[in-house]
Amino acid sequence: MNRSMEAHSILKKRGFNIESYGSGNQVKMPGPTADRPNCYEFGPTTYEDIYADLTEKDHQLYTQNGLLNMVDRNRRIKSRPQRFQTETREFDVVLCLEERVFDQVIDFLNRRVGTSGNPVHVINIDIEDNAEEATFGAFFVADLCDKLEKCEDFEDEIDNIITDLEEKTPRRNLLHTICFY
Amino acid sequence: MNEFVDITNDIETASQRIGEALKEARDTDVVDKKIKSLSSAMHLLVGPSLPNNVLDNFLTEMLEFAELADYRITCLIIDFLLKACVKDYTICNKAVERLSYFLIPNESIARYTSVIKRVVLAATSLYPIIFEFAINDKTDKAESCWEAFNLLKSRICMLVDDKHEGVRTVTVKFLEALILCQSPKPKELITDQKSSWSNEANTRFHKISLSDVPRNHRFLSYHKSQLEAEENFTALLKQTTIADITSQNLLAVIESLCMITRCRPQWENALSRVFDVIKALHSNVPPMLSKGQVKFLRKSFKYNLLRFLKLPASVPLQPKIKTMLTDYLGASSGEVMRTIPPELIQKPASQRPAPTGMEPLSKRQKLHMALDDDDDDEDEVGPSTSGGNGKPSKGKDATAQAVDITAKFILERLNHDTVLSLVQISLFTLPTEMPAAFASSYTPIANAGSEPNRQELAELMAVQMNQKEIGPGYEWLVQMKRKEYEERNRARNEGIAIAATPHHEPRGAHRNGPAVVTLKTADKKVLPAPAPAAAAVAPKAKKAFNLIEETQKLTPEEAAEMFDMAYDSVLQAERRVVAGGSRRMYQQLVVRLTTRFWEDCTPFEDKLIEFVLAEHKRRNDLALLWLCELYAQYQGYSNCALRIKEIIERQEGLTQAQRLERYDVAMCKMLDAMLERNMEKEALFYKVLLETPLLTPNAIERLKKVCMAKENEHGMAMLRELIMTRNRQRPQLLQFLFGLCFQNKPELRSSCLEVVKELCNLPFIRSSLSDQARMQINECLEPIPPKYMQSSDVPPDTWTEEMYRNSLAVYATLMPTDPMLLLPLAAVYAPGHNIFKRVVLRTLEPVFRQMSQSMVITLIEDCPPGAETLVARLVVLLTERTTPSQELIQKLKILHDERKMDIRALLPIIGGLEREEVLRLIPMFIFRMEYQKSVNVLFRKLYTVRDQQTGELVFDPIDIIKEYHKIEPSDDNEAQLLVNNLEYLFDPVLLKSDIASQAIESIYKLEQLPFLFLHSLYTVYRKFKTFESFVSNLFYKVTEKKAFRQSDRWKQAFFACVRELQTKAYPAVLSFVSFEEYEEIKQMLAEANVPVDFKDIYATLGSSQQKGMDENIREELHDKERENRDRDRRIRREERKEKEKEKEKEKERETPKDGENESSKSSHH
Repeated sequence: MNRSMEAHSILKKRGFNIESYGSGNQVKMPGPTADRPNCYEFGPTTYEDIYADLTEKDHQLYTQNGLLNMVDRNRRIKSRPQRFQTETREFDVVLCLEERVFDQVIDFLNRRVGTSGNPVHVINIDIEDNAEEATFGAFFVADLCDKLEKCEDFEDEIDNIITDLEEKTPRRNLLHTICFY
Repeated sequence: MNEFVDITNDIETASQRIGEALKEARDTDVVDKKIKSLSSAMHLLVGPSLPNNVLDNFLTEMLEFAELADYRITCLIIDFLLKACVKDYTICNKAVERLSYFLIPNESIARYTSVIKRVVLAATSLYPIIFEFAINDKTDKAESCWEAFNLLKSRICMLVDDKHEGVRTVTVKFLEALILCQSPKPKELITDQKSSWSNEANTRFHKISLSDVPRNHRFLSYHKSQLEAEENFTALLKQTTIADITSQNLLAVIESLCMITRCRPQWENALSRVFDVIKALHSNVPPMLSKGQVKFLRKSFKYNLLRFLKLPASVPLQPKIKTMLTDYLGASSGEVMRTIPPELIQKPASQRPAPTGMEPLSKRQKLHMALDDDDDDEDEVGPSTSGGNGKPSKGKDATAQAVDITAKFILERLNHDTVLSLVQISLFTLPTEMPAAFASSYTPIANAGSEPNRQELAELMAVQMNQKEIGPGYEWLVQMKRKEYEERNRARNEGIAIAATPHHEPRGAHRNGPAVVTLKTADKKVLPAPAPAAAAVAPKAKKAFNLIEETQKLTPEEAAEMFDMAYDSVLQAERRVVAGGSRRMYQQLVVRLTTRFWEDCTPFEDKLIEFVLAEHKRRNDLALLWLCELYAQYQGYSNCALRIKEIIERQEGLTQAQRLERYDVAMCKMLDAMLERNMEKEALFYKVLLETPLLTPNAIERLKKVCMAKENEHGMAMLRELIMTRNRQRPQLLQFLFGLCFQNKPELRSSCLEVVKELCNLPFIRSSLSDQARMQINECLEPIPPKYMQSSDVPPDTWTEEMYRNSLAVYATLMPTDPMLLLPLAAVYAPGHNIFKRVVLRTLEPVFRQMSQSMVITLIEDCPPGAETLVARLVVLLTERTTPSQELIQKLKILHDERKMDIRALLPIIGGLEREEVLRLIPMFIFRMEYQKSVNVLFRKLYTVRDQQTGELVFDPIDIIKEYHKIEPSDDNEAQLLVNNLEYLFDPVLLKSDIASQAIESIYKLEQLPFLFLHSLYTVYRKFKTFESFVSNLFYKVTEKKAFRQSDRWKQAFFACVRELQTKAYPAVLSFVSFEEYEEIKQMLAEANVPVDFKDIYATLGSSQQKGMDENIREELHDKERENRDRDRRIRREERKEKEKEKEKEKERETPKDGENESSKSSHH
């Protein structure tokens, strides 16, 4: 909701055909304490709802920790959070911003019974979950996408692109695999 | 009934909508719109509500769109075909035919790889559909469809080593489909669809399998289908052993293998073979993979092995898999145990102690059992149908078996001493960085030296030895491979499609260089340099191997022949090498082979040229590298420089000049070959000229050919680029460009000048251009024209106007933008030939007209002696447009005085001169023959030049005319010139009549009337028509004064005036001249053919005038007869008048007396 939406916003601005998703069972956001997160259901909940809910619960707290600001940004990008596992559209590249999510995505793609058989490249790029890193990371992701976009056949070059990037930025934990729809 | 009607209507509207969409797609020119319309048509067509016949109706129309040659449209059509086949089996035939067509690579369509990928994907999805169609359909169509699909299949199988990564990936998935469809589905999966196994077998190819093929099918052979699947499974397993496989494809292969394993664990002993492959890969990760890729590979191994544990077939392998997971892949034992379904955990638990706490001994036994039992696996595991074909073993992959054999061999020898020496050797050869694959696969200290650890170590080393092609396992493998190859060939002959097996090349072979030694005996085996780890493991080789003893020298002929063959095969290996990503190394190899090994490399060079030109677009780098190498050799800094250095020191081989010639010849050969094939517009031609280190003069000659061709835009563009980029050779190239102007072709010249114009806009080239242009005009001073200027139709040692003009063409183009070129031009102009001077003045006139005043002043200041005429011309052209500044006038005057220049040069600035100076100048113009032509200009200037500030005339015309008349001629000639130039002095165009008359009057008032006055009189009379009386009056006065008697010159002037004024002059003449003068005048007029009747004139004179005349003249003119006649006539007239008066009186008296009247009448007659 923070990192992926930041990336979504920047990639959208650069003209990519992009969507963003969560991979967990619920939309989970920090609450007043670590053991009391705010949870919402994927599907019916809109960002407007979340915004209203958070404002009502503790306007000051959520303004202070930047949560309201973030949700406000998100509602300007799209109406509601979406879950990757319920999406039927096919993509060329799936970008995960945390290894845990990457594992979930691959597990989902590998366990589902195939449909079209079209290949999809799944790439992991670690981005720390805070506002500043989210912005840095989003630019990193956008640069990667730019590179892929420039290729005539990105499948021929993705290997080199990823390994080059990996060498330059070892802490990003770049992982790449190919799955099939 | 109503419902029925509705449906028909629906179909009709749907058809209409499809028709409209297709029409839209046809009509628009925008590809995106076409795609949009086509997809909507496609969705309607394949929609479930539409009957198949509608789909059939529109099929051909849809397929026609593929002819649009756009990859996206073709991909869409392929998708459409796939969906159509799903909807209607009968379309399969057509679809397979189209897909086969689309699979043919088409380089003319951009991104055609996408189409190929899409075809493979579609064929993958179509596999079960067509297979089902073939099994169930009873018509001939099914059989022909299956046959066509088999052909397509074999072509797709070939793509497994395609150069495009993505194509290889989808091909792997295609093989997965093939294997799954053509292998029997386990019964358990059919019966129990909710077991944990069923969950793992999550393939989309579950609907149909070999189990559905009846043994007695009319054209599908169960055996053949199964064999095809088996061979392809083996081929897929072997894909994992390609050393330079990319991570993406390795993962795709592994995922496919694991999918097959999960669906068919016991078929072909898939589970254990795939497990072996994973193990082998784990211990020998492909070296190309990066850290992240290794990490993910291990992740994938862990993930897939955990999933294997859910298969009932994995029970026998459980301990192995568990060890692998916990010891090497970082899984916790809890995690592993949680994964195994409870029903599968029971059996091993009851038979054996807890799997995690295994005793070394028991494990060893088990492992041994696994190893020893290899041969029997087939009987125990799975209902493989291929058991009866007499193969040595299908239970394990041959490579895996070879590893096992070697591992066994090593394990026997793995004692303390060997391990110790191994460690010692390894310490010396440790790499500086830990390999990515190593970090997570080291042995925990506690396990070191334990039995399983020894076993693992042995296996690890065995895999490496196998890769280095040593050890007993490998020997066994070689034999096996031979057998396998024969079998596969047999199978292919039967028509089975098998994916290509990876081509293994011994890695050591690359480093050996060109073959100079060969084995003496065929049966002895030479080991390539073994890896350090492997070296120590060969305790068996006791006898020292002596390479020198074992080998013998090749004869030069043999060596040459082998070199030749090697060269050819290196050339042919291009595609594979490029696919492997070593294009650069390959090119270096080819170039070195071509250039370094023989004294005469021509045959190889010729081959190389042919090779490059065959696919010049892809190989232009190679050509450039080749030329660069030759250049480096010429300069002596090639990699083989040392050798060359030695050769040079020994004064052998080629000298530097010869090496340059070699470079030159090579370059020209390349260019000539391209010119022969009309390839001069190809990028390679351009690159050879542009990107090689040095452009030789001969290569420029090739460019000349292109530039001189009819359509030379390309050549000129190349030349321009060359001039722009080749700094070092710019002067040479510019000379070439300028030289082109001398070709006898006007179009070529104008295109050259176009290039010059373009180039002179670039600041960094302008100075070179100017320098070159200066040099070129300097060459015009040479006694003989330089070679490039000469033309065939003129003797080589003569300059022609044409040549001069051509050599000035560029100069003329440059001068307007670079006025600094004026001085150099003057410097050449000064000593130049007269023809050259003339050409300069004429050709450059338009340019001169653009010169600014300040430039002209600069030139005046620094005018080289001899260039004064150029200065004069420039000043003339300048003053035609602007009024000269005071500075210019001063400078020019100084120059004029210093150099004793032609006074005509002062004409343009005459307005700036003092009156006295001008008055001094006038006689010079009048009396010098060579200036005669400029006299009119002089007067024009004098009469018209106006003051810049006041706008008034600088000189008073009356004054000028007066002063003109004051000029004293020193001889007759000068006098004549003075007279002649009156023409210009009194030019009615410049002079108003009142000014003229005033001037004449003022002259008349002079104390000393000049003889010229009379000449001026008639000139004025002739030019100003209204001056008749004015002129005759003045003439009368002058004649009266008898001025004409002053001198001979006066007299002539008088005569001339008489002749010109004629009747206006005669009264004065008659009145005042003497009789002798009168006679002379008469004679003069007669000679001049002027008819005159002085008597008439005389008659018009008044009597006082007549009396004042010379008597003799009067005598002559006085007509006595006429006087008499006049007097008679007068008398007669008076008489008649009197008679008439009398008659009148009579009439009055005698009326009417008619008869008398009549008689008087007749008498009068």
